[in-house]
Amino acid sequence: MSSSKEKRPGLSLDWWTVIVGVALAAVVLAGLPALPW
Amino acid sequence: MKKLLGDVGRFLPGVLFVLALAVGGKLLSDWLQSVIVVAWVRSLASNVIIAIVGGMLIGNLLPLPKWLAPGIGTYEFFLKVGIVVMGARFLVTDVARLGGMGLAIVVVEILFSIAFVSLFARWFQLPQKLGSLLSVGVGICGVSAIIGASGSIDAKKEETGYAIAVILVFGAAALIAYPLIGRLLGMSDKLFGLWAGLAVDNTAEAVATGAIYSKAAVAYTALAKLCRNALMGFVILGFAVYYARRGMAREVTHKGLFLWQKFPKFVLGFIGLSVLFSILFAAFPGGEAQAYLKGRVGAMKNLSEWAFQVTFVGVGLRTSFREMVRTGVKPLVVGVAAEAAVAAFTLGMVFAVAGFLPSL
Repeated sequence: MSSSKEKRPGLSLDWWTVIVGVALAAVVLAGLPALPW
Repeated sequence: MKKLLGDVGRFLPGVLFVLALAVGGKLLSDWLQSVIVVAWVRSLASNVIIAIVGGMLIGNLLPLPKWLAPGIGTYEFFLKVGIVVMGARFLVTDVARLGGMGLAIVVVEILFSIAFVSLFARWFQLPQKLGSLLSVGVGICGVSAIIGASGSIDAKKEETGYAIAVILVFGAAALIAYPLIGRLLGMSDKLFGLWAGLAVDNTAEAVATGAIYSKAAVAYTALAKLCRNALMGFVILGFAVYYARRGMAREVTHKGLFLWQKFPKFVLGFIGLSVLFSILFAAFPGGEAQAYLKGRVGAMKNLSEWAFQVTFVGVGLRTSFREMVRTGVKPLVVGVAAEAAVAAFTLGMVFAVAGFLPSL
């Protein structure tokens, strides 16, 4: 997102949103009970 | 390991604080919805409004300890995770159809915004780079775009701070003004959602504005906003090359790499899940498997709702009334004119293409 983050070694925060989002989707697809809303 | 523990310790209190407010806001909203009988008063007690207004009141009236700040700032992370997960709800064919049209509209919107803001900044004799930052913020996606552009065009820190403050002031104003205008004009969820996604600058405020209008509008807002975000790299690159040619910023050596670095990766996550779930739905067109998939997509919708609820609290907590007053008059005047022009222009565009827009 910001230029300062891009200078950091490793994955940027933006990539982590993808990893966490996809991982959550995978866990939900596998059967994690739905959070009440 | 020590660094990881340090990071957890730094972020955890604020994250827990925001989560607690998000859950509390939702429970309060549910309770109010069940006891208020007058429909229009009940609509004011939606989870979105309670989260934002509650966040604003707490953030501006209570002296929050500084150690909460890093965790509070993570709401953008929740927002993007929520958008990624939201991808599962959309068939990729719909995303392509609406996204293709959205991209075309967004290109026009960005060109109009940049031209108009730059012109207005010149009339009001704002520093050239401040004008550029404002036009990037208004044209594309608010704070992220301004931060990305400021590094690329070597803008001063004060100019960056100013531009961000102006964008945030208007983000807060949009939360109230846009839904009111939408209701006055009797806009459908689809049209309003697109309009909010095209005209509200910051992603968090755009999603919140769509959510205040209706649950159905948010999907359109998110998709239109993703189109704007996806074009961020091209616009920043344009400005970087412009200033570098005038000797006012560093040269961009690898343009392809530059574009890739500025591309918001969560858009890829959104598209990836949309593709995956479209394939799954095509592979299991009926029966129990499809019913299971539909149930799972419903569960993901709830996850997105919670991620957005955290975002709304964060938007409220971040909206500083003091900062609004401190921003000063000139950039605000430019901001008012620019936002009003962009809002009117995009509103006209949305109505003009209304008959051609596919539904999600």
